[in-house]
Amino acid sequence: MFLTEDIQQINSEKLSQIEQNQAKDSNGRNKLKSWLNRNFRIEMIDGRKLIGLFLCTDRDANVILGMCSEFRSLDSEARNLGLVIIKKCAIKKIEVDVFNQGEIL
Amino acid sequence: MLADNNLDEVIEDTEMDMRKEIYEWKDITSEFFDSVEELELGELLHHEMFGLFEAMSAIEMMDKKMDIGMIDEKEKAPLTFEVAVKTGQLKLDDLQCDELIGIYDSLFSCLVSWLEGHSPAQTVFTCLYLHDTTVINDKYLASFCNGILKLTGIIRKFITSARVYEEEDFQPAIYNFNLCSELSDQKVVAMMKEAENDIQKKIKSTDPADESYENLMAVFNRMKFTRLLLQCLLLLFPTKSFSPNEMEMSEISKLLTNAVELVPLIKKTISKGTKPDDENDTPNVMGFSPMVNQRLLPPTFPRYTKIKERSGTYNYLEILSQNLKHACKIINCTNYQIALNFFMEFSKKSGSCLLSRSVLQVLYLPVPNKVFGATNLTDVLKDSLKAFIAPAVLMPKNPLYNNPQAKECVDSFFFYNEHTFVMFLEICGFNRARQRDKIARLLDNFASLQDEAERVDTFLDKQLNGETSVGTCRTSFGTWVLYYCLRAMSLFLISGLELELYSVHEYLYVFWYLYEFLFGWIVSALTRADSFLLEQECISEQFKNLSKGQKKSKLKKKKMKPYGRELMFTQALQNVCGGYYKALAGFHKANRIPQPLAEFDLEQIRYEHRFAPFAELSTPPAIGYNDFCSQKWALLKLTQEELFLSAAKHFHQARTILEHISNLDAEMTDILKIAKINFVVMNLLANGHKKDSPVPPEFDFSSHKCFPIIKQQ
Repeated sequence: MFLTEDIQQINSEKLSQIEQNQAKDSNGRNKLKSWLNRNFRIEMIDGRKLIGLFLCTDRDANVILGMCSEFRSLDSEARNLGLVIIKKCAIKKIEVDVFNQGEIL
Repeated sequence: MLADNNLDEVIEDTEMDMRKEIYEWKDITSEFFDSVEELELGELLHHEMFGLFEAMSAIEMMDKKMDIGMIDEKEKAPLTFEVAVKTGQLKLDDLQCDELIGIYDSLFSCLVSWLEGHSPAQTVFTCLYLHDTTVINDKYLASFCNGILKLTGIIRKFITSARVYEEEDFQPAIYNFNLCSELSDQKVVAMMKEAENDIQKKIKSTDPADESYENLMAVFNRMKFTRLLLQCLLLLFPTKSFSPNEMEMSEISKLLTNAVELVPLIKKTISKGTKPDDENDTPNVMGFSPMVNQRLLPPTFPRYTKIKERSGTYNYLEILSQNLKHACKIINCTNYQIALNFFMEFSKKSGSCLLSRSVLQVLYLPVPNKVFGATNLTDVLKDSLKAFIAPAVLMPKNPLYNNPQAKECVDSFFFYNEHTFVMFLEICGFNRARQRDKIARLLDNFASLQDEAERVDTFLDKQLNGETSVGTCRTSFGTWVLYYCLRAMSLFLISGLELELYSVHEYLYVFWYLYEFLFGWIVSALTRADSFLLEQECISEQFKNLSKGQKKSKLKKKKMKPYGRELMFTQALQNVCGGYYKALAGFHKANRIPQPLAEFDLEQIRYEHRFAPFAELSTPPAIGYNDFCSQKWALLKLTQEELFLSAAKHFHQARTILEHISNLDAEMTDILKIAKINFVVMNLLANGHKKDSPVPPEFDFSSHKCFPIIKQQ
């Protein structure tokens, strides 16, 4: 329970920090924002591909995808993973879906 | 431009047509990596609906432990059944004895690992032979594998019917594996029997001095053990929702005895089989592929499963067979009170595994409201109530028995409250940690049950008004329900000791509650019921004598009190707890109980938290923190010597009571021993031994999980 509260607190601190940063909102940050909630396809270093909604990232390019499915080149079946986090070192390629422009959530 | 690579076609084939799978991908790799550089250190860029809290539950990809789908370059693709057969890595004909023994033993290791809570996909079904037993030509291996498949099936059937497991105990999903459904159970048993006979013939023609003789015996014993276990479980499962009758039960017991006798022989020959490969975690050199089902598992599963080693496996199976045999005795428990005691004892036994607990549940209540499938639970409860306190309304000779309104009242009481009694039995089937949790919730049910019992008592009392109410206990329903409620409450408190939830500084009020209230109240409920039953008996005896015209009363013959044993044992426990309470008060007085740091200390909060589930109940009333404080201060007016002396008296009293009980069971013997030792320690302390030692006392739970031996260094 304490944890939740702590995290909420951290969250709100973060939010206010972001608000401060809004003034100096840069090009890159805007780009990232425009990608939020869009479908990402990430190829990992082991060759698997993940398709899911881009939800969150940070300076170290840790990427969080929601409703994520895993695809292997060998077998055709998708495997549902749910929420996943991918570290920068595991990412080979990132693609964004430009067909479904509208927000999904 | 519509994406047209093969991946997108793949997506269209899958079931996820929720999102229309038309994508148009644009590579943003470098753009993305450049953009994130602009973020502050520690800043999260996220959607407003998404926070750090959600992020914590994400699975980390490419993490060895979390990402079970990871493709490791160093790791070869897991060996599959088809490949193994094609490449000849799976031997299907003429297996040698050592190969058979190795496969048998590792199959059991996998089975037991499954029973200990791992996924069947990572245990039993890592054995490639089980993927298709029809291609196995070797008769001994084929029949054994079919036997294991059937065992898996019947075990699953028991555990899922009893439903007394949680996710940490058992994984029921078998991922569409075929459990040899093409053959009937009888057919498989017959095949195993046939294979056994075959080996037996070989054994007979072999010189006992020959080395192969022992190997053949080892194979034979394993086959036989498996068949016996399978047969027992098949027989134990209720047919047409009837549990086996007494005759069938004694038959099953015999089979189980045979099975138990085989285990030591099997354990001796474990070394005869092929060994597991230490390097790659495979349970055996041939026939197993630990990662073969990895893609079947849910994403959050642990990647590796440690398979139980072989001798531990057979110890487990030995205890399992013994427990199953013990569970068969439930057939003699027709009374609810006796059955509940049986369930409680059973769950307390060390090594009572989920399967044996599930079997017990299924045997007693194969359908939710019929005991053994034969008698209505309501009737069993009524009989138990009658045997407990003989309420007028259930006694055929009493005028109230035929009163339609009274009858209806009683019937509806049982109709609406039966489930609480079922729940209590079910709770005893869960693992010990979950039991505590569930008892707390059961007490809510008891709160309303108690109300209704009191209402029934009042109603019946009204009906009786004006009629002869000689020898009627006015609170028979209430007393009966109270008894079970108190049992649940004491189980709740005591289990906290067993689960090591309490700190030493909390013992004082835990033992105080048990001593002053719960055990005391159980004693008084039992005494009330007991004296009432005796009274009833006197009346009916007198009645009989009168009608026969005999003047000489036979009442003087001493009758065994119906609750004598339970009453005495509860009194003994009450005194043991009293002893701890006084002893702890003594240590308190001597400042030898380490207290929590003042900044973290608010005893009232801890107290209220510990006894929170009792707060819902109106009868018995929850005892508040203030009561505890005033009693504690009154007690602490005594000197520590006086307190220790008083504790010694309690332990002595407990010992005397226990020594008067005939045929002590294992638990009673342990408690007797503990009481004796504690008595000596308390006497020493009372005489000033180590009076000024600042060393806190030690509580040694090695003899009993709940009642410690007090040690003073």
